[in-house]
Amino acid sequence: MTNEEKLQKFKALQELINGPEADEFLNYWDGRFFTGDMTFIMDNVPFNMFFYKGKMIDVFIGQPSNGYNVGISGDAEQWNAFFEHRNFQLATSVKHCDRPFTNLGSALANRQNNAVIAQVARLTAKAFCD
Amino acid sequence: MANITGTYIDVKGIKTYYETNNGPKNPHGTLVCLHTAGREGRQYHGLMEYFADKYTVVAFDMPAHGKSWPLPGLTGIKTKEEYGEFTWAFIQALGIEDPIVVGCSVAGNMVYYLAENYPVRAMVSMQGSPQILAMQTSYGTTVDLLDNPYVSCQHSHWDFSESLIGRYAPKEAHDHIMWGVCQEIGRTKKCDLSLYNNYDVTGDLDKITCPSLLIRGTDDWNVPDHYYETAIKGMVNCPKLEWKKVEGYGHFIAVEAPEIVGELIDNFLNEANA
Repeated sequence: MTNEEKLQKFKALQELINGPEADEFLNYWDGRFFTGDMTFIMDNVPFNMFFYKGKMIDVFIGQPSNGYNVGISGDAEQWNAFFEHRNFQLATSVKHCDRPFTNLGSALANRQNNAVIAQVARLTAKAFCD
Repeated sequence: MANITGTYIDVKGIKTYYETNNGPKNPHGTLVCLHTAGREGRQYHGLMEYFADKYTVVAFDMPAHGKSWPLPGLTGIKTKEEYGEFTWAFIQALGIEDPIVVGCSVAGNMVYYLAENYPVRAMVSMQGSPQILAMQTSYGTTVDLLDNPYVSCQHSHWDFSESLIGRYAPKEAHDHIMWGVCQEIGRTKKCDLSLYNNYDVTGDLDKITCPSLLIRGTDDWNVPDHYYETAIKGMVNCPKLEWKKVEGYGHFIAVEAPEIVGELIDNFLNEANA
C-alpha cells in the first residue's frame, strides 16, 4: 500500500470516527475530552490526526507543528500484527511483546489518553482492513 | 439466593470490611477469597451464591480497598510479606482453622506465597504467577503514573481492564468489572501493581505441600501459559496439583464465570479429600 493509499484509509477512518462510531468513541471511550494531535507512524511515515473535542478535523502526512503530542510508531510487521489481533494493550506492552509499538510524546500524555488512543488504533484497523 | 452479610473486624489495627455467604461449614475447608488489584471483595458474590448451600465463603477488602481503612500514611500494602501477614492475621481474627485461599490476579500471585509460608488447607490461583518482574522496565513508569495528579486512574485503565475480559463474559459481569474500574483509587492501584510486578516466589515453590488448583481463563492475554508452567515446574511437593483452562473467559474469571469456577473448585476439593 502506498502512502497516498494509506492516507485515504485515514480519511475513511475520519468518516468512521465522526459518523457511525462517533457515539461510542465520544462517550464510552471518552473521546469527547480529547483535543489535539494524535500521530500514528507507519514505517517511518507519520500520519497526523487533529481532533477537537473528539471530532477528527484533519489528517495529513507529516509531523505536527508543535511536536508529537500522543500516538504510536511501528513498522509494517508491527502494524500488521496489530491489525490481526487488535489488542492495543498487548501491542504496547513491554511485558508481553518482543517488539511493542513505541509511544510518541510524553509518558504522561499517553497515560492520560490511553483509552482514546486505543480506540482510534482499533478503528484504524477497521478502516484499513474491514 | 445466598444470605450475604458484611461487617467490620479489626486486623492489625486496621478496620477491615469483609463479607460472608453464611454458608454451611464444609469438612473440606473454608474459602477465603482475595480480590484483584485495586478492587474489592464483591468480586466473589457470584462464588458466594454458587456455594450458598455448600461452603462458607469469606471475602475481605484489603487495606485501602473497598470499605476497608487504609494503612497509616493513607496507603496500601506494598510487599508480599505485609500481604501475607495481613491475610493470615485476618484468617486468625475470624478463627478460621481450615482456610482454602482463593485469589485472582495479584491475589492469584499471592496465594503461592501464602501456601509457601502459612498452613493453608489448599490454594486456588486464578490468573496468577509466581514470578513477574516488570517494575525495572518502562512499565514501572506506567505504574508510577497511577497516582499522578494529572492522570485519571480510572480513565487510564479503562481500555486495559476492558481488554482483559473474556468474550463469553455475560453483560452483567462485564458491567460489574468496568464499574470496578470506575471505583479504583490511584494510590491503592499503584501499591497493588508495584507488588504484582515486583514479585518472585519461585525459589520456595517446593515448600507448597497443600492441594493446589490453578485456573486460567484463556482469553486473558495478560497472564499467558508460561506463568503457569513456571509454577508447575517448581511445585514438586503438592499432593494434588491441577491446572484447568477455561475457554472464552478472561482475567476476572471469578466474576465472569462463578459457576464454572465454583464447579472446578468443588470437584477439586472432593477429589483432594477423597
